[in-house]
Amino acid sequence: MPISWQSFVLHLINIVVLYVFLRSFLYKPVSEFMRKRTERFATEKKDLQNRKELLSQQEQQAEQTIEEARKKALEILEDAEKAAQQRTEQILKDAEEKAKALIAEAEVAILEEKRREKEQMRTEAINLAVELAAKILTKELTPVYNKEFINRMTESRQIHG
Amino acid sequence: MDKTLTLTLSVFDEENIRKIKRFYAKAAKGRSWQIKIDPSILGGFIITDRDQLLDYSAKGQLEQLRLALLQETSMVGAKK
Repeated sequence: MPISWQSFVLHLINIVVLYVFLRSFLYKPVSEFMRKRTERFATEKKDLQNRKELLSQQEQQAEQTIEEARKKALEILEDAEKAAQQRTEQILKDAEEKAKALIAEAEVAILEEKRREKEQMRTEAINLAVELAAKILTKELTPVYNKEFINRMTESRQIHG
Repeated sequence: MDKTLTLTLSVFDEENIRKIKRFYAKAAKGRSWQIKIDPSILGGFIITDRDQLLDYSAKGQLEQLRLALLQETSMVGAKK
């Protein structure tokens, strides 16, 4: 079938018009849509990456905080143990000193009590001996001895009247 | 002023009274004596001259001995 130049021109015009039409109303919006989509994906990817990094940082910070808290807790525990140990030692030392003081006090009291008892016994013995001597004298001090006693008293002592 | 002297004896004995009066003659010059008998003094005599008491009784000597011993005891106790 022969192709006429008029038909050819018409076809050519058709093609050009179609091209222009398609380019204007299809290619450009689709390209724009695709570009925007790509940009959105890139933004979301970047955002996701940022979030991931942030999360990682937060995880690290949390771990660091936990580690610090653990160290601090250990330090507090050690300090508390030390303080308790010191307090216990101090209490024991105080108790020991108090016990020593009480023992010393008791020893002094015992010695004092013994001394008092001895003194009391001596006093009682002396009183008893003197009472006994008085009883013996009541029986044994005869008029002769009495005279002799009076002689001795008057001779041995001088009166300054 | 009371001029009377009191002489206390355990038993009445003239010879002893004379001896004691001689012994205290200087201080008793011109004063009268009152004689008292008190067997509880055991022996010896006590002269009461106003507020002064001269105790030469056996009981008084024993009391002095007792006091001396007690004093010595308390001194020994204090040293210990």
